[in-house]
Amino acid sequence: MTNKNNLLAGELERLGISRRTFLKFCTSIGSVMALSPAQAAVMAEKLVTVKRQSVIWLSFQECTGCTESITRSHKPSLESLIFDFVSLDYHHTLQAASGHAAEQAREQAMHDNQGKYILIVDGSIPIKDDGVYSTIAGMTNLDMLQQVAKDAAAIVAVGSCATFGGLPKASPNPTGAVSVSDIVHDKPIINIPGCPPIPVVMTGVLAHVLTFGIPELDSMGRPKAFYGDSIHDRCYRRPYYDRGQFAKSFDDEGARKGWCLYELGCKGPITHNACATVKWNNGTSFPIQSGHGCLGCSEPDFWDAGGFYKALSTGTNSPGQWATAALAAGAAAGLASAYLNKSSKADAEKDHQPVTLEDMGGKS
Amino acid sequence: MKTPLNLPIEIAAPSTGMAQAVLHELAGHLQQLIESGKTEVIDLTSLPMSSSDKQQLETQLGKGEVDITLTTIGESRIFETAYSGIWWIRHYTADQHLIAELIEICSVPQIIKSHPADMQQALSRLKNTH
Ligand code: SF4
Repeated sequence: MTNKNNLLAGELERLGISRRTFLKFCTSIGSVMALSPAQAAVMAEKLVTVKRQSVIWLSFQECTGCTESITRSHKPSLESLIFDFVSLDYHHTLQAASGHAAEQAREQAMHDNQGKYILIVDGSIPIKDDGVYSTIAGMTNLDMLQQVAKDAAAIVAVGSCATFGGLPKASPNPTGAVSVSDIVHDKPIINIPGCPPIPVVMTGVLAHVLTFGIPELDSMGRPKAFYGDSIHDRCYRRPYYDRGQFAKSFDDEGARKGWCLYELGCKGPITHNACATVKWNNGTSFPIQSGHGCLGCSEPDFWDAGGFYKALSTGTNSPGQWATAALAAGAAAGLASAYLNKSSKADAEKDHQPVTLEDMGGKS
Repeated sequence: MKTPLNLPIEIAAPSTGMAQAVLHELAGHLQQLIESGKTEVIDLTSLPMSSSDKQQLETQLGKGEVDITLTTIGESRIFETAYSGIWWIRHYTADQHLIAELIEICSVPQIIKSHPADMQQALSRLKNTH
């Protein structure tokens, strides 16, 4: 018999989790990842046969919010299951070891799993003045990233700091903070932006890497499954937007009736993330549902985007017009779910052209 | 702790015509199931449906003869709608949070079938009892 203890199947058995239960969780994760339910079933079958994966987690210039987000995901869940299943060989916030023993654990894992470990990074890397602004065990973040990245199979950059520089990079960027992809160029890098990212997105990506390999990424290195749609694409207030019904202040009639928050500065139309469907705090709510516009925290340089309460410029069309056209095209075809699939989405995106990332980065 | 503010917030959820679109799609899938046996699943979680859209759809599909509750970690509620071959599936976590909502077009939803690995385990447990 093969040693089941090293496989997820063994872990499931140990925990008394049936395959039916496992399929249920894979279905929910698949739904979040926009996998077809058939693919979710394949993922469930494949996941149980994967071996325990070595993971090294490096935290640089960050607030630990990303680690909080992930470790606070509800239990028992596939998130916690996958997270417990991987072999987290180094994470200086979570591990029991400290000092030399901790660094030794990292070196040991790098040695034992050379070329096979997954490197997760949260936090940006300061490079000004030879990277002196953030060090771990006397080593600069820059040196440590380069050293550990060298023999990694793949790198997952978690959070807006590791993916885009984040808050440390906010003007005037005193430490010269940069992202992982600014430094490492010869390894596959998966970017999972968000301040913090949604927990299930992170485990969903891990599950995908373990079963189907590196997921399909967009031009910014983000998994398309989670970042393919904008908040606006999936926002439940969208019908109000389409009809041009906007709240004008936080306590007017429109706000009370739950109208669109566009004019109050919502960045939903240019923010790619899964908050509108996955939501936060175990699916309780997300900013727009709580009556506040989206800040765009998973987009590059959101902090310097010129004001959370400033409405995005809309070009010459009024927002109502172009969006209604896109929605009507989908509904007329009678294919509700096709409205969101890749090909029709491309059309919808064309209609959304007037609002671009430049609007967000627009310097005043 | 302060007493929570009691503001008269009404979040109206207008229907967007999405229910009608889904019904149309279901007819196509059911026909396909009958003709070629190909099953289909519609993931309701990922559709931009308002709560009244969903209610409308559920009312129109109605309840059929079969109603199943899975007690895995958290319950799953599965019922066949008044339209044979169209099943409504809701998965919940242990704290009753809805994590997936699907409509499956099939004769028996996949999750109901016993999994070979579970059966294998059951067999060894059975054998150990005598
Ligand atoms: S602008 Fe914001 S609140 Fe309005 S529909 Fe788009 S995402 Fe929702």
